[in-house]
Amino acid sequence: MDGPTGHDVKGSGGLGRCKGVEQAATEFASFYAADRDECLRVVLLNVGSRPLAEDLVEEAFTRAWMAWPKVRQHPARRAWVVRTALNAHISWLRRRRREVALAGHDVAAADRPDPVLDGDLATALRGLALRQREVVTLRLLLDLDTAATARLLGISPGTVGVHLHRALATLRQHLSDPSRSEQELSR
Amino acid sequence: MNDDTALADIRGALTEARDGLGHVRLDTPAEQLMARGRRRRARRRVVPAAAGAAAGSLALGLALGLPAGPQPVHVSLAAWSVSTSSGGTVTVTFHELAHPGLLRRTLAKAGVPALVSFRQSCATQPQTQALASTGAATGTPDSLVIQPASLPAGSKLIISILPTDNAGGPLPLPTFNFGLLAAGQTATCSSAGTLHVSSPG
Repeated sequence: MDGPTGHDVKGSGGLGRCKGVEQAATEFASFYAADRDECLRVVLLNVGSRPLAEDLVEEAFTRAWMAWPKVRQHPARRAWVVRTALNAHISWLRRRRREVALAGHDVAAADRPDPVLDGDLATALRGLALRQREVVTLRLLLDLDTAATARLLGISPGTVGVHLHRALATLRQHLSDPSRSEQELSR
Repeated sequence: MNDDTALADIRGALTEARDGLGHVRLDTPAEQLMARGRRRRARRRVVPAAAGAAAGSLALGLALGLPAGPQPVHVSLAAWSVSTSSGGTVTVTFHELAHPGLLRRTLAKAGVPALVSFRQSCATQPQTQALASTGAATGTPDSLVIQPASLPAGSKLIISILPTDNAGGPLPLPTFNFGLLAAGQTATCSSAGTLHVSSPG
């Protein structure tokens, strides 16, 4: 019987690995092409600055690629990217706070005003506590159900409900009294 | 209004706001992000290996009782590289602002005592002028050429690089800030960086 030689076996293994890498790259590129704009818009609503949102989403997709064997099997990959971007935003804010505390003069360039981002609801969303904002983003903007949201955030479904209830109460107040967002921001 | 109604109302309003950003698109190619990820993975593999090699060399030197003088150094990381020439000149080239501690140790091995900071500006104008007057280092926007023999005894080279905002652009442009910390002096660091690239006087 003609079996494969040692060389053949090694060669096919290498080829298999190459194909695996190519397949992963193709899958990731396809995921990125399909979801990048949507992720950017959701993150932009959360942070209010387009250059920052772009940086955060690129960072999140880079991390998704680095952890692609895990992320590709995630049931809510887009939500994973958005949550990673929001976490990166928190790290960015902490870094910036330290740097500003030292000198207090590093002021980011202002973006061109956008009526959507300057709207009452977007302003109120950005004023929510991080966890409430994450829950609102995942549940309402990315249409995850309570169980999936709880799994992604590592909290119980009941806690998701509590955060959502509080967030809705705040957002509802802002919707009924738009001047409140401006007052709180100017404090 | 109960929670279900509020949920529906706010979901509708948020979706409308998101859809109002339909003109917002991310143009960065996937290949660029994948390349960034690959560079990071490579760096994570290289840095512990470089640190391990440096520690190993030091341990071997101590074990053999070798003098702890300057040694030829050729370290190339994704973030920066340090290379010693046959004439004793040490060249540092910067690509990314990362691993300042490892850079300080690598320079020490090459005979350049240094204070390295990648988040704060640590050299004052007199310290920058002091460095320029020795001719011990020449800076370019992304590299520094050092003559260790020209550094005064007991002094330290200050290398501080401060990432600065390039008016909202995606990539920060760093401010390079080099100086000389005389023996017994202490450095005062702040995030207030101004461009002070040294040049021999």
